[in-house]
Amino acid sequence: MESYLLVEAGRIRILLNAINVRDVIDGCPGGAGDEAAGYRLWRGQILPVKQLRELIGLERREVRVTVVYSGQEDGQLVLLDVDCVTGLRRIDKSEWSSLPPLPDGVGGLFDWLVTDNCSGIQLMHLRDGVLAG
Amino acid sequence: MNLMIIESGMQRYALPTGNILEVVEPQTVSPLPHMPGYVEGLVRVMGQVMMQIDLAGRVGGHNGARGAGTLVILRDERGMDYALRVDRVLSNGHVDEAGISFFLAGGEQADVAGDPQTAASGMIAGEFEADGHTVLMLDTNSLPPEGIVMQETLLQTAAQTQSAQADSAGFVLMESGGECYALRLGEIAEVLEVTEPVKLPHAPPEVAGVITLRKSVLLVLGLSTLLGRYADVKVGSAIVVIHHGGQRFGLIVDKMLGIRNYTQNDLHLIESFGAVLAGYIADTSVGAEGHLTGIISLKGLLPEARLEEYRKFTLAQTSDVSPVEEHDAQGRTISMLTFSVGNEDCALPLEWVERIEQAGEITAAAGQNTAGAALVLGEVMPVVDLADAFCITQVETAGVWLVVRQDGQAWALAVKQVGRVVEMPCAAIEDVKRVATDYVEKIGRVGEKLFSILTLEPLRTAGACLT
Repeated sequence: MESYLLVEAGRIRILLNAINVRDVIDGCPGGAGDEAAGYRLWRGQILPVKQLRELIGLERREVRVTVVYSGQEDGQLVLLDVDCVTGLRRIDKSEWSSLPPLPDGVGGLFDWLVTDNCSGIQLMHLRDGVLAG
Repeated sequence: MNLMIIESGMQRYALPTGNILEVVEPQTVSPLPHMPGYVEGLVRVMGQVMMQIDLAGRVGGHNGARGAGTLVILRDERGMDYALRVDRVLSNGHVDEAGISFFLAGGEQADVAGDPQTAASGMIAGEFEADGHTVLMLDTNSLPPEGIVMQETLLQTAAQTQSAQADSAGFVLMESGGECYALRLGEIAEVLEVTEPVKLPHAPPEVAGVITLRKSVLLVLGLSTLLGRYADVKVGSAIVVIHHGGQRFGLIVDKMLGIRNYTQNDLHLIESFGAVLAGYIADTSVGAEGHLTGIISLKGLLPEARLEEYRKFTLAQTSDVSPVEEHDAQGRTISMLTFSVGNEDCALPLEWVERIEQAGEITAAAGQNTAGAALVLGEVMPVVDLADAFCITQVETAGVWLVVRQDGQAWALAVKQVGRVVEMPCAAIEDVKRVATDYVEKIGRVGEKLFSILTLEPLRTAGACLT
């Protein structure tokens, strides 16, 4: 049983490996224009900024929450701007479902999903390494 | 040709019924990124997650009202399942192929009724007239968006996932002598905190001594010594209680590391008869970096010769606490072998039964408590006819012998026939034993059926009479 941070961008709910989350901070004032340079300061480190909305093809908007995240253990940290953090979920591997056949651009973002028992919504797990580079 | 007629955006369409898996009510849709407008997202139908396509949006470019209508679950020729949202299903029926105008590739006849672009994209395979309406026949292979990746991993069905789960096995991980080892979950009865064992004179170096466990004596062995890591038993932090060769042992380990499930892919099994290790687990997250976890083979660790040596320390102690009492303390169920004696339904803890043999020839022998003696697989053993023991008269001849062992002596219990193995909740077992010679010790219930649960205690008395 592993823990995952559930975040939202638009109407899409995405799971991040909780073990790879270093911090959750308020979004930077200035929002969409702030990451023009592509970097932001966090605890003395200059980290690249990624917009989850942009990653999934949605329009940019004012950033509310930023997750300090590494796509994989001991990987490069990134500041991942999301619309909101919904909470932590404990999920066992046995609950994972494969993604159905999808166009390559989408299937490459996620590697498995689980169905939220309350809402029936699919929660998709962000594939490790997607935020790299 | 069997077709289902559906309606979407005021237009009638037909779907080949051979491609239709199910028709269901709309489900909760989870949106997907980077998708054209007609792909509404993912839905879970029949335990499977699949893409949902809005037919009106797909063929006409105008999406219907989300959440309304009906879902037709389709399978295309690649084997991909998807949900097609339509306004409603009108009918199912046979349509004569002669009446269908099939479009040529490229949609040359598309201007008859459908949108030429739609036909040209291959979504409309043809058209026909029905009930005064033009019906467009859909090509189910062309409705999903282009660029679908049909990787094997993505096509893993729920059944395959379940199969993978069935292939996984639970292991208890422990550290001993600076190395990590694993025992299969089913081989372990419980884990105890270390208590100082009582030393046994003339015991081999791996025998730490004995402890009492719920009124029973448990022989405790040092795992690291058994594995040859240390000459003497070191003080550990836990005792892992195992069942092996009809006996229970405690294994002293340095540290318990937890329980994990591994699939067959994680296990690297080796075939070496008598080896202490049955293989390795490639999980470097356990223990020191770069170390593999050894899977202990109890057969290799405690071969028959060793068991025989240990029996002199454990004989006459193992049956002091019945499995029923032991399991009861843990609030579990107990596996019982059911059988009949006359018209009585009886049960014995499965772990007491060594073998089940067809009843054979009995040689008359002295002893008022036995029916005689018999040769079973080269071993001479007294036979107890349980019907006689129960004072049941006029019963059919016993058909089966249950071979059990008491104080090292094998006995054949003659019964009418063997039933099935049942899991009996310990909470559903009650004491009824009145006198020491009663074979029926308890009554257990499975569902509405009652079973007399036998004890082997009277065999001890009978054994004393034999000797």
